[in-house]
Amino acid sequence: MTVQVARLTVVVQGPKKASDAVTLLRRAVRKTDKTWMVRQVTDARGRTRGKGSHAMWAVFDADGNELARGSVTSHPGDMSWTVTRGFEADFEKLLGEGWMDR
Amino acid sequence: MSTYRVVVSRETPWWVAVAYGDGLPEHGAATESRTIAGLEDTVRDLIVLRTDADLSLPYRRAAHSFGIEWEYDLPAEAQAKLESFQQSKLVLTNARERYADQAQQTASTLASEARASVRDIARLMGLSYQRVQQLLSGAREGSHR
Repeated sequence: MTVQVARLTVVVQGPKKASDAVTLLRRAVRKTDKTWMVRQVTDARGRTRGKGSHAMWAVFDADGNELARGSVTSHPGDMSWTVTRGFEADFEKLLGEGWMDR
Repeated sequence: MSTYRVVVSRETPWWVAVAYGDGLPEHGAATESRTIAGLEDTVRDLIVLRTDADLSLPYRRAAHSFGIEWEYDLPAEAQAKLESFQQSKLVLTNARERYADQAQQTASTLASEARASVRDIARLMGLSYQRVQQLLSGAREGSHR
Protein backbone atom coordinates (compact mmCIF):
# COMPACT_ATOMS: atom_id res chain seq x y z
CA MET A 1 0.00 0.00 0.00
CA THR A 2 1.37 3.41 -0.90
CA VAL A 3 0.66 6.27 1.42
CA GLN A 4 0.93 9.68 -0.15
CA VAL A 5 1.41 12.61 2.13
CA ALA A 6 0.47 15.98 0.73
CA ARG A 7 2.05 18.99 2.37
CA LEU A 8 -0.17 22.04 2.56
CA THR A 9 1.74 25.20 1.82
CA VAL A 10 0.20 28.32 3.28
CA VAL A 11 0.67 31.34 1.07
CA VAL A 12 -0.82 34.80 0.82
CA GLN A 13 -4.27 34.70 -0.76
CA GLY A 14 -4.55 37.89 -2.77
CA PRO A 15 -2.59 40.83 -4.13
CA LYS A 16 -1.77 43.68 -1.77
CA LYS A 17 -0.54 47.24 -1.95
CA ALA A 18 3.17 47.65 -1.20
CA SER A 19 2.39 49.84 1.82
CA ASP A 20 0.02 47.17 3.21
CA ALA A 21 2.63 44.45 2.66
CA VAL A 22 5.20 46.48 4.63
CA THR A 23 2.68 47.13 7.43
CA LEU A 24 2.03 43.38 7.61
CA LEU A 25 5.78 42.78 7.69
CA ARG A 26 6.18 45.16 10.65
CA ARG A 27 3.30 43.45 12.45
CA ALA A 28 4.69 39.94 11.85
CA VAL A 29 8.18 41.04 12.96
CA ARG A 30 6.79 42.59 16.18
CA LYS A 31 4.95 39.33 16.92
CA THR A 32 8.07 37.24 16.29
CA ASP A 33 10.69 39.27 18.15
CA LYS A 34 10.17 42.68 19.71
CA THR A 35 13.86 43.59 19.38
CA TRP A 36 13.92 43.22 15.59
CA MET A 37 13.43 46.24 13.35
CA VAL A 38 12.11 46.73 9.83
CA ARG A 39 13.92 49.36 7.79
CA GLN A 40 14.02 50.35 4.15
CA VAL A 41 17.37 49.58 2.53
CA THR A 42 18.66 52.89 1.21
CA ASP A 43 21.94 54.33 -0.03
CA ALA A 44 24.41 56.03 2.31
CA ARG A 45 22.42 59.29 2.12
CA GLY A 46 19.14 57.62 2.99
CA ARG A 47 17.73 57.77 -0.54
CA THR A 48 15.90 54.93 -2.31
CA ARG A 49 18.44 53.04 -4.39
CA GLY A 50 18.17 52.34 -8.11
CA LYS A 51 15.83 54.14 -10.46
CA GLY A 52 13.05 54.13 -7.90
CA SER A 53 10.77 51.43 -9.27
CA HIS A 54 11.39 49.18 -6.26
CA ALA A 55 11.79 49.56 -2.54
CA MET A 56 13.91 47.12 -0.57
CA TRP A 57 12.92 46.33 2.98
CA ALA A 58 14.97 44.38 5.47
CA VAL A 59 14.64 43.01 8.98
CA PHE A 60 17.50 43.76 11.38
CA ASP A 61 18.22 42.31 14.81
CA ALA A 62 19.01 44.44 17.86
CA ASP A 63 22.71 44.55 16.86
CA GLY A 64 21.87 45.88 13.42
CA ASN A 65 22.59 42.62 11.58
CA GLU A 66 20.41 42.10 8.54
CA LEU A 67 18.30 38.95 8.93
CA ALA A 68 16.31 38.99 5.70
CA ARG A 69 15.39 41.34 2.90
CA GLY A 70 12.69 41.62 0.30
CA SER A 71 11.50 43.95 -2.42
CA VAL A 72 8.21 45.52 -3.42
CA THR A 73 7.31 47.69 -6.38
CA SER A 74 7.00 51.42 -5.73
CA HIS A 75 3.66 52.22 -7.39
CA PRO A 76 0.73 53.03 -5.07
CA GLY A 77 -1.75 50.45 -6.44
CA ASP A 78 -2.19 46.75 -5.82
CA MET A 79 0.84 44.67 -6.69
CA SER A 80 0.33 41.47 -8.65
CA TRP A 81 -0.14 38.31 -6.63
CA THR A 82 3.29 37.05 -7.75
CA VAL A 83 5.10 40.15 -6.45
CA THR A 84 3.08 40.03 -3.21
CA ARG A 85 3.87 36.33 -2.84
CA GLY A 86 7.55 37.01 -3.66
CA PHE A 87 7.72 39.51 -0.80
CA GLU A 88 6.12 36.98 1.51
CA ALA A 89 8.57 34.29 0.38
CA ASP A 90 11.51 36.67 0.97
CA PHE A 91 10.78 36.65 4.72
CA GLU A 92 9.35 33.15 5.06
CA LYS A 93 12.48 31.59 6.54
CA LEU A 94 12.44 34.24 9.25
CA LEU A 95 8.72 34.62 9.95
CA GLY A 96 7.31 31.24 8.92
CA GLU A 97 4.88 30.21 6.20
CA GLY A 98 1.81 32.32 5.71
CA TRP A 99 3.03 35.23 7.86
CA MET A 100 1.25 37.73 5.67
CA ASP A 101 -2.25 36.40 6.20
CA ARG A 102 -1.77 35.37 9.83
CA MET B 1 29.13 38.18 -17.36
CA SER B 2 26.37 36.36 -15.51
CA THR B 3 23.02 35.72 -17.14
CA TYR B 4 19.68 35.74 -15.38
CA ARG B 5 16.67 33.71 -16.49
CA VAL B 6 13.52 35.80 -16.40
CA VAL B 7 10.11 34.17 -16.69
CA VAL B 8 7.36 36.54 -17.81
CA SER B 9 3.69 35.80 -17.27
CA ARG B 10 0.44 37.72 -17.41
CA GLU B 11 -1.52 38.80 -14.34
CA THR B 12 -3.86 41.41 -15.73
CA PRO B 13 -3.17 44.35 -15.70
CA TRP B 14 0.47 43.42 -15.07
CA TRP B 15 3.20 41.65 -16.95
CA VAL B 16 4.95 39.87 -14.14
CA ALA B 17 8.62 38.90 -14.35
CA VAL B 18 10.41 36.53 -12.00
CA ALA B 19 14.20 36.56 -12.22
CA TYR B 20 16.40 33.62 -11.24
CA GLY B 21 20.18 33.50 -10.98
CA ASP B 22 23.29 34.41 -9.00
CA GLY B 23 22.63 36.40 -5.86
CA LEU B 24 18.85 36.13 -6.08
CA PRO B 25 16.68 34.08 -3.72
CA GLU B 26 15.87 30.50 -4.74
CA HIS B 27 12.20 31.40 -5.25
CA GLY B 28 13.30 34.20 -7.58
CA ALA B 29 12.85 37.95 -7.42
CA ALA B 30 9.57 39.24 -8.79
CA THR B 31 8.57 42.52 -10.35
CA GLU B 32 5.90 43.84 -12.70
CA SER B 33 5.20 46.36 -15.42
CA ARG B 34 2.13 47.48 -17.36
CA THR B 35 3.94 46.92 -20.66
CA ILE B 36 6.41 44.36 -21.94
CA ALA B 37 8.55 47.25 -23.20
CA GLY B 38 8.80 48.55 -19.66
CA LEU B 39 9.85 45.20 -18.21
CA GLU B 40 13.53 45.23 -19.13
CA ASP B 41 14.39 48.42 -17.19
CA THR B 42 12.32 47.24 -14.26
CA VAL B 43 13.89 43.79 -14.19
CA ARG B 44 17.41 45.25 -14.47
CA ASP B 45 16.63 47.64 -11.61
CA LEU B 46 15.39 44.78 -9.45
CA ILE B 47 18.41 42.58 -10.15
CA VAL B 48 20.82 45.45 -9.40
CA LEU B 49 19.11 46.12 -6.07
CA ARG B 50 18.74 42.50 -5.04
CA THR B 51 22.38 41.69 -5.84
CA ASP B 52 23.80 45.00 -4.51
CA ALA B 53 25.55 45.42 -7.86
CA ASP B 54 25.14 49.21 -7.57
CA LEU B 55 27.35 49.28 -4.47
CA SER B 56 30.46 48.36 -6.46
CA LEU B 57 29.61 49.93 -9.83
CA PRO B 58 27.83 53.11 -10.99
CA TYR B 59 24.12 52.31 -11.40
CA ARG B 60 24.07 52.52 -15.21
CA ARG B 61 27.02 50.16 -15.57
CA ALA B 62 25.65 47.84 -12.92
CA ALA B 63 22.32 47.65 -14.74
CA HIS B 64 24.07 46.44 -17.90
CA SER B 65 26.68 44.22 -16.30
CA PHE B 66 24.60 41.05 -16.82
CA GLY B 67 22.60 39.30 -19.50
CA ILE B 68 18.94 38.35 -19.43
CA GLU B 69 17.34 35.29 -20.99
CA TRP B 70 13.63 35.93 -21.45
CA GLU B 71 11.07 33.17 -21.23
CA TYR B 72 7.36 33.76 -21.73
CA ASP B 73 4.81 31.71 -19.87
CA LEU B 74 1.63 32.51 -21.79
CA PRO B 75 -1.74 30.75 -21.94
CA ALA B 76 -1.32 27.58 -24.06
CA GLU B 77 -3.30 28.80 -27.06
CA ALA B 78 -1.59 32.19 -27.13
CA GLN B 79 1.82 30.50 -26.80
CA ALA B 80 1.06 28.13 -29.69
CA LYS B 81 -0.14 30.99 -31.94
CA LEU B 82 2.92 33.07 -31.09
CA GLU B 83 5.33 30.21 -31.84
CA SER B 84 3.54 29.48 -35.11
CA PHE B 85 3.72 33.17 -36.08
CA GLN B 86 7.42 33.32 -35.26
CA GLN B 87 8.06 30.32 -37.52
CA SER B 88 6.12 32.01 -40.34
CA LYS B 89 8.11 35.19 -39.79
CA LEU B 90 11.37 33.25 -40.06
CA VAL B 91 10.21 31.61 -43.30
CA LEU B 92 9.23 35.04 -44.67
CA THR B 93 12.58 36.58 -43.71
CA ASN B 94 14.48 33.76 -45.43
CA ALA B 95 12.26 34.03 -48.52
CA ARG B 96 12.84 37.81 -48.67
CA GLU B 97 16.60 37.31 -48.58
CA ARG B 98 16.42 34.66 -51.31
CA TYR B 99 14.15 36.93 -53.41
CA ALA B 100 16.56 39.86 -53.07
CA ASP B 101 19.56 37.71 -54.10
CA GLN B 102 17.74 36.18 -57.04
CA ALA B 103 16.37 39.52 -58.26
CA GLN B 104 19.86 41.03 -58.33
CA GLN B 105 21.46 38.00 -59.97
CA THR B 106 18.70 37.78 -62.58
CA ALA B 107 18.84 41.48 -63.50
CA SER B 108 22.60 41.34 -63.66
CA THR B 109 22.65 38.19 -65.82
CA LEU B 110 19.99 39.56 -68.20
CA ALA B 111 22.06 42.73 -68.59
CA SER B 112 25.37 40.95 -69.18
CA GLU B 113 24.34 37.79 -71.05
CA ALA B 114 21.28 38.94 -73.01
CA ARG B 115 22.44 42.57 -73.36
CA ALA B 116 18.93 43.55 -72.29
CA SER B 117 18.18 47.21 -71.53
CA VAL B 118 16.89 48.34 -68.15
CA ARG B 119 13.37 48.73 -69.56
CA ASP B 120 13.49 45.27 -71.18
CA ILE B 121 14.72 43.66 -67.97
CA ALA B 122 11.91 45.45 -66.10
CA ARG B 123 9.41 44.03 -68.57
CA LEU B 124 10.83 40.50 -68.33
CA MET B 125 10.97 40.50 -64.52
CA GLY B 126 7.69 42.32 -63.92
CA LEU B 127 9.40 45.11 -61.97
CA SER B 128 9.61 48.86 -62.44
CA TYR B 129 12.64 50.09 -64.38
CA GLN B 130 13.62 52.19 -61.36
CA ARG B 131 13.80 49.00 -59.29
CA VAL B 132 15.89 47.28 -61.99
CA GLN B 133 18.21 50.29 -61.98
CA GLN B 134 18.64 49.87 -58.21
CA LEU B 135 19.31 46.14 -58.61
CA LEU B 136 21.95 46.73 -61.26
CA SER B 137 23.63 49.49 -59.24
CA GLY B 138 23.63 47.16 -56.24
CA ALA B 139 25.15 44.37 -58.33
CA ARG B 140 27.86 46.73 -59.68
CA GLU B 141 28.70 47.95 -56.15
CA GLY B 142 28.79 44.33 -54.99
CA SER B 143 31.20 43.31 -57.74
CA HIS B 144 33.51 46.31 -57.07
CA ARG B 145 33.90 45.38 -53.39
